[in-house]
Amino acid sequence: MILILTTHGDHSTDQTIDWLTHYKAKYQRININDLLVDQTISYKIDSTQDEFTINNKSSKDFTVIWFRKSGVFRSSYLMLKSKSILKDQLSSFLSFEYAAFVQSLKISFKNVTWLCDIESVEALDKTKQLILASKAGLDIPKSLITNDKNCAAEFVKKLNGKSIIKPLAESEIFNAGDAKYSISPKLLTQIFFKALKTKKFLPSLIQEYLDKDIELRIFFLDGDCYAMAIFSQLDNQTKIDYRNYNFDKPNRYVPYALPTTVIENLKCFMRDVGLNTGSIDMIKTKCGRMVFLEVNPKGQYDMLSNPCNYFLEEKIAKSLINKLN
Amino acid sequence: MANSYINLFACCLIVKGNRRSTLVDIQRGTFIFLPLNISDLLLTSRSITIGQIFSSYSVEDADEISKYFDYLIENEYAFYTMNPESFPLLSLDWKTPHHITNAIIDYDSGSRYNIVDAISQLEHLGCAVVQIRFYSRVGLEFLLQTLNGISKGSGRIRSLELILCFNEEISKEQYRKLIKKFPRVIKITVHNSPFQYKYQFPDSINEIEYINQHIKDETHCGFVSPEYFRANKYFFTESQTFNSCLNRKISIDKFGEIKNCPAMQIGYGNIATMSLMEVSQQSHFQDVWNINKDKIDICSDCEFRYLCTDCRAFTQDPHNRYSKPLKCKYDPYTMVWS
Ligand code: SF4
Repeated sequence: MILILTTHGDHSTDQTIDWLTHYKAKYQRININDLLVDQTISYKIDSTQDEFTINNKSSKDFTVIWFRKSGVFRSSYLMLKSKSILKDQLSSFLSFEYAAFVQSLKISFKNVTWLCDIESVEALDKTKQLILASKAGLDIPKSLITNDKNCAAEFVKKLNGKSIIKPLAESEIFNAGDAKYSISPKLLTQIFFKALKTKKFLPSLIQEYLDKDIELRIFFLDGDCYAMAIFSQLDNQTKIDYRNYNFDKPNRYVPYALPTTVIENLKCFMRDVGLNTGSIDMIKTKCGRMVFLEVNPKGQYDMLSNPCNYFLEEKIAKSLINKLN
Repeated sequence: MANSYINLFACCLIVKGNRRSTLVDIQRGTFIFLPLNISDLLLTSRSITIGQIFSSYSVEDADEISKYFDYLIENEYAFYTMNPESFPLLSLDWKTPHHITNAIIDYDSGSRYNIVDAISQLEHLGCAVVQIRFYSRVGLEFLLQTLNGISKGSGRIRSLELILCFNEEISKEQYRKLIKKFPRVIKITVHNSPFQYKYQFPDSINEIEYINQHIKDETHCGFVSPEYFRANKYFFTESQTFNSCLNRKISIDKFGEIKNCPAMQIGYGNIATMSLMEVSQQSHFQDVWNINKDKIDICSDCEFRYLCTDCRAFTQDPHNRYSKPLKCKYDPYTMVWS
């Protein structure tokens, strides 16, 4: 049987499940954010055995696991309530508890085939990605992680003043009442460093600014690449980051045929990071460079499947079914 | 520039009619008209450079063509590229995991069939979109009963539209509460209303609308006009191969007869004695699913054929299964709406 680890309300999961039903495959869906609502997990451990059950089904029944999403525990009512009681003390404790539980999930499954291996996902960080991508033959942006103003200024100068600063972990949007603050890639200039008063700061990632022709989003599945070109350069609002969505005139999203060498390099890279699926971001520059930016193992593939008519939901269902045999 | 190519974005698709073409933008949901010769040119421009195109025309013609090209570039219908082979065409395949995707259920004061049972059958079929049309007044109790039946299901019905006859005993507030309780009811339309009113739920697609028009029976359907045109990927691709109204649709008329559409003549059995599953699997029930616009007289020459919704219930010649929809006033040979 197939086990799907996901969250409540994930549309992409719903659609893939429709195809699993269509092909009469047996599956069990578990919404990790519903652990506080209606899902039952039990993990019995004693001197003779350890037995893990999910909604009364033994973990031994599951031979294929799709790790779709790890849950939005942060916004669960328990978390929100804890914030109002003991500020961050309680909520950070709960986060650690939750992380420890996810850790124990991993151990409880033996001899399963993963679609999106949980271990590989957790071992993935930006620097590791860049190093392995480069080893796999992919072009990557020149990058620097530093906490030092002079170091950074020097680097930016070498790049002819054009560079970008972006979060080492994830981009975020913070809500404060009606105001929204977003932490997303921003252009850096040398003037920025002149104005900067402090000499040291939290280690930050600086990368060369790539003069985009188009952005590429690639969904990788079992060695196949489904690519889409995003014409974000046509629109000033989305020049640096296409997520600054323009609702009146959405960017053009069209299918793209990757050069075979890039496909081979991507296959090699994905094998090295231990992933059989993920959403890959790349940029094609004006001078024709194809630059790898990052892979997101749990990216929203429907933003690619729908405009390109790729039927990725069906392909994922078929991939899961194939893994059963 | 001369050795680059002009390429339409894959989501901008040319539909050739008898006298002009439409360029349908299925991403932004709009369309424009193009002369036939320009659309022909664009259909081959992936393999001919701009330079080659211009050199094969007179100066005046080339000038005219370049005006169109400028317009297409300016408005982001097309782009210039040196590598057209990197931009494959969009696949126009359409498929669905669901045997039935949409349903219409009709009910009036004379209806005797079990509507809750009908809905649970739709749920079982995995039918995502359901419309229920009440031609006469129904009480709140009855509505609640019906909707409770739905909410007990497995959630495969994803959106439900209710067409209700005005009933002064039910307030707007009560309808609003109904939608709050059953958010899968995405729209309530109240017909035969003495007043007009529209309410959109904040941050959601759910809405309530009161209209003056009295929807007495199933004949209030099948109108074809630009205001009902739809330019989206799902509809456009489905229309390529399948009937744009009836594909994977099942209906129950007010007498409980199971049909492709409540307004059509042929019934395939009554819900009292047959299941929706049984009927929907009969091959003659599925026959109309494959009548796409390219098979229909006159429509096959129309530049709107993947934008308008077909109608097989009301046609110009009821004896011809490929006859043009009766309630369309467009003539693709004169380009006039009469
Ligand atoms: S002629 Fe046919 S295809 Fe054209 S608008 Fe009318 S019904 Fe639609």
